[in-house]
Amino acid sequence: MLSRRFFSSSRSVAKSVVTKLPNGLTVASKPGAQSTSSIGLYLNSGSRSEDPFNSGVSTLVGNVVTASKTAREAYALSGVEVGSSNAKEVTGLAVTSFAKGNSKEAFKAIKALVSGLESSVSDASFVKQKAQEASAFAEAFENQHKSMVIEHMISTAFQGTSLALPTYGKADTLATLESSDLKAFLGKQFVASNLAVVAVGDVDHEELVKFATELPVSAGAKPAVEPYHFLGSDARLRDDTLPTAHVAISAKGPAVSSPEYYAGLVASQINGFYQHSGLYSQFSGSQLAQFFNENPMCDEFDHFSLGFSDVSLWGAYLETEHIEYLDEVVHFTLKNWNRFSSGTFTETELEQGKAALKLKLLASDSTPAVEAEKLASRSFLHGFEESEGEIIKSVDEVSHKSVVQWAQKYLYDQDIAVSGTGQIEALFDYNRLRNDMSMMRW
Amino acid sequence: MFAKTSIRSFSTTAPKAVKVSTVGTPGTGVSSLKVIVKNAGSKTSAPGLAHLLASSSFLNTNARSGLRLKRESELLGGEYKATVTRDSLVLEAKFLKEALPYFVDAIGDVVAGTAFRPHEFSELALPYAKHETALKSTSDFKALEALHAITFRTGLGKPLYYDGSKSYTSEDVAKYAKSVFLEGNIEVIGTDVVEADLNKFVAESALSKLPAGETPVAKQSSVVGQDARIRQAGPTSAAIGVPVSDVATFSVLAAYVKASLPTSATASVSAEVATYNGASLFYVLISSASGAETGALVTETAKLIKEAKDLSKFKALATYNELANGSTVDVSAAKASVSVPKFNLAVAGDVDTVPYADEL
Repeated sequence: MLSRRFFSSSRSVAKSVVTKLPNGLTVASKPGAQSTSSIGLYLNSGSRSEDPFNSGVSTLVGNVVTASKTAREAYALSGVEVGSSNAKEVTGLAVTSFAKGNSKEAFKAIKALVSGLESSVSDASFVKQKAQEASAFAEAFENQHKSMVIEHMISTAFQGTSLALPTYGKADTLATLESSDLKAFLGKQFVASNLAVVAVGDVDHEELVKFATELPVSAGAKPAVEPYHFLGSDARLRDDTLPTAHVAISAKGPAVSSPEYYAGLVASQINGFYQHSGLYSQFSGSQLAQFFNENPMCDEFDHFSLGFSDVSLWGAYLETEHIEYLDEVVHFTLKNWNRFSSGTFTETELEQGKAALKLKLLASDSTPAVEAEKLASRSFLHGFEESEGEIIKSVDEVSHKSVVQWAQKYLYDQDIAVSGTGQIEALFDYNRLRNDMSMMRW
Repeated sequence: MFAKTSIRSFSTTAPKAVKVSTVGTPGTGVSSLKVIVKNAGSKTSAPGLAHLLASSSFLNTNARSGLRLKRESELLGGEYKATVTRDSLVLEAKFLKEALPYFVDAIGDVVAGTAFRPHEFSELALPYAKHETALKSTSDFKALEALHAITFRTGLGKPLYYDGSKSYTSEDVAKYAKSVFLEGNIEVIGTDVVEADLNKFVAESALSKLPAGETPVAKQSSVVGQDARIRQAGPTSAAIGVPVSDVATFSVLAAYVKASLPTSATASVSAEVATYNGASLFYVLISSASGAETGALVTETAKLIKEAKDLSKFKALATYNELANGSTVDVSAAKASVSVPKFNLAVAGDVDTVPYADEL
C-alpha cells in the first residue's frame, strides 16, 4: 500500500558509527532523540555463556557493579545513573544514563567502575548479599506469568544446552554464588574482543574511541558459546491456584542475521497482539483477533519472534481465564498459523503486518539505555547496525511468497516447544498439539 | 451600517490559531502527534467524567467509524490512544511519517465530531474505564491518589479515574466534551515532523474550526498536615507530600531524598515534584511488601525533609531526574537549604506500621 518510492528519498537518518579497536574492543555510537544520553560497557555474553553451576553469574556481576559505592556516588553527586541489563547473549555491565552535556562525568564513572571491578567482586560479604537479592529476584520472576512461561518455553526448546539457562539465573544456583565464581566468569569473559563501549545521545564518537582505548581491559580471544540444539518438547508448571491459564508455543526459526528472518517478523505482526479487554480490540483487523472476538475464549495473545545469534523462536503467548476452552484457544491459534504455510492469508493482512513491523522497528525506544543495548547487540552480531533505510528495505522486500516459503520451511509440520502455567488441565498432550502444526487437507 | 458590519465581522473571525509546536528532527521513520486538550483533565470535570471522555475517544465520529479508524491506522502503520491526566485530556498517535495528514485529520475528527453513541458508552467506554481503574489501582497509585485528595481536596484532588461513585450517561460525556473542546484549550505537539506540514494540516483540519474560548479554571487551594489511611491487603505504600511553589528547590530536595535514603532491594522509592497547571506537589512515594520497612523509610524521609541543608551538590542529579522525567525545570536557581516542617501523609496497605504525619 505504501509505495517504496515514498521511503527511498534521502533523509537525515541518525546513523550509528561502529569502530573496532586494534585490541578487538567494539566502539559504537549514535545520536539520540531523547534529552538524556547513555554510555554503557557491554559484554557479548549473558546467560548463554553460563553453565548450570554458575547460572545467574552474569546478572550478579551487573548487580554488584550497579550497587557498588562508586556507582552510588556517581548517581548522588554527578547525576550519572548506573544500571545493568541482562539478556541471553548480551550483558550491560555498567550502563550510565545522564543529562546531555554531562558525558565527562559518565566517562569518569565507567572508568572508575572498571578499575574497581576487581575489588567490588572480591568483597565476599557484599557479593553474598547481592547474590541473595538476585536469588530473591529470580524467585519473584517465576510469578510474572507471561515472561515466566516464555522463559520456560526457551528452556525446554533448547534443553541440555546453555541457551536453556534462564536470563536472570536460577534462584537456587544464584544463592550459592561467591566471589570466586564472579572472578572466574570475568576472567574468561572480560576481554577486549568480547566487550563493547556503546553510546547513544550527545556523545562524540572520537571522544568515545579515545576513552575506550584508555580502558584497562586485557586482550584475549573471544570465548566460544555452546551451539544450540532445539528439541520439540513441553514444560508444564500447572498451578490451579492461579485464575487463568498461560501458554507459550513456538517453533524453531532462522537466525537473526538470516535473510529469512524478516519474513517471520512480518508473520508475527500479521497476527500481532490482542487483548480482549482493550478498548479498540474488537475493531482489530487481525484474523485471529476477529475469531476470538466472535468466540470470546482468549484474553490475550502475543506473537513473537525471539532472535538469537544462530537461531530464533517464532510463536505466541496465549492467556485465558476460560480454562475449559484452553484446548480450543491453542487449536485455533495453531490452525491460524497453518494459513501462512498454505498461503491463505490476504495481501491486506500482509501489508498491515509490514506496516506494523515498520512502526515497531523504527519507533524510538523509551530510554537511551534501551537503545544502547540494542545497538550493542547488533554491533556484536553484525558489526554494524542497520540504518532505518535498510530496515524499511528489508521489510518491503517481504512478499506473500517469501512468507509462504518461510512458513513451509520453519512452521509447517515442525516440532514445537510448549510451556504452560496456571490452570492448564485443558492443554492437550504434546502429540495432539504437534498434530495441529500440519493439516489433513491443504 | 456598512462600517458597523465590517467591524463586527473583523472582530469575530480574527483567526486565533491553535497552538502548534514541534520537537525532534523530521526525517526519522516514525513520527508522533500529541493533541493536548488543556483544562479537560480530572481537575475540571465532574469526578471521573474526564476519564470517561478519554475512553470514549477514537470511537465512532460523524465522519468515520471506530472500526474504519482502527483498520485504516493498521494499514498506514499507526497507533493511537487517549489518556487522562489531572490537567488535560491527551490524544496521541504514533505513526509512519507519511501518515501525518491522516492522523491530524483523525484527531481533529475526534475532537470536533465524536458521536458519543449510547451503546458505545455502555458497551465500550464505561466497561473499559472501569477495567482501567481496576488495573491501575495498585497500592502505590491509591496512596498517591489519597495524597492528592487530602492536599488539594477539590480540583487536583479529584480522582484521576472513574471510580463508579457517580453514574453518567453518554449525554453527560457529550455535554462535557462540548464544554472543553474549545480552540483555546487545544495544543498540538508534533514529534519528528516537518513544522510547516503540521501547521498546514492543522489549519486544514477540524482542529482549527473549533468554537473559540477556553475553559475557566478555579484557583487551586491546598492544605497541609493531613492524613489519609487506606487499610487493605498487599504491599504497603506511603506518600509523603506537600504543595510547593518553588519547583526548582524541591526538585533538588527530591534528588537529595532519593540519593540519601538507604538502598533496599525490597523497597521502591520515588521522589519528584509533580507540576500541574496552577499548583505543584512535591512527594516521596515509598512502597514495600513489608509494612515495617515502609514505616521505617517514611520516618527516615520525614527526618530528611524537615531540615535539608547543603542541597547544592545534588543539582546534577536533579537535572538528570528532571530530564529523565521529561520535564524542563531549571534547577540552577534552587536554594541550598529547605525545611518542610508540616506535610501530608497518605498510606495504603498495612497502615498500623506507618506513623501518622504529626508523629513524625
